[in-house]
Amino acid sequence: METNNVHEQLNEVARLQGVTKGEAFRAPRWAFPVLGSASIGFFGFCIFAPTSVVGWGSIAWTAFIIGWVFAIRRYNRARPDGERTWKQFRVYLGVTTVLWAVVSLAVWQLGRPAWVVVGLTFALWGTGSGSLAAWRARHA
Amino acid sequence: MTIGELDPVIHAPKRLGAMAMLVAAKWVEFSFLREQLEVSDSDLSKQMSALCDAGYATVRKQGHGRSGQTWFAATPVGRKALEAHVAALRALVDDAPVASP
Repeated sequence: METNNVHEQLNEVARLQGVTKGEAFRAPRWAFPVLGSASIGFFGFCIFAPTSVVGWGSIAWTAFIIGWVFAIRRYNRARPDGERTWKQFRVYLGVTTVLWAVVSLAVWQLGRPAWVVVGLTFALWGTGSGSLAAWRARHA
Repeated sequence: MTIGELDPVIHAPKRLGAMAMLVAAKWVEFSFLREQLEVSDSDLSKQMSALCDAGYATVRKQGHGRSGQTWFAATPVGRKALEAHVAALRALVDDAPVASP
């Protein structure tokens, strides 16, 4: 921003803020393909694995998700504002809880094959909500 | 609204741009600021030092050596200063006489 023109300065301020918000909510290209592949792999594994092994699989899955989230955070060169993130977190928590209840009911009723559906549902929810958050941040 | 009400620290276009980016996020990394503001490392360091000295921004270093990162955040004082400065700029635009054809 080299200009001293007030109009141009105001436009540049708006542009830079939009770019920064976009960066704060951007996910790397590999993020969702990795999550989707891992979801299919894990829930597919759960269909055939013995019950005793599934418990350890769940621990590995939790570790993977935590690592995935930290990897995305490290990739971004702008961190989202805390207040906005907390608001979004509450919305995500609410929707995820409802989704969890619905898919748990499906698993209970339909058995192990439904676990793949569960994994895909959660992966789609993560992808969709992440994309929506980024879009809203850019257009705020 | 007068020119005198503009903030002298963020009146400089590069510092105004940097503050605009800092208030849009919690933390912003040095290389991202440099790319978006299209300035050199040394120039950005100088501008960010001025913002930090004025109490408008704070700095945090993460890691060491080549993989180390430097992050900046706007302070509450900096956020208010930018808000007031942008409001002053808008007022200048609004108060400007309409050019005759």
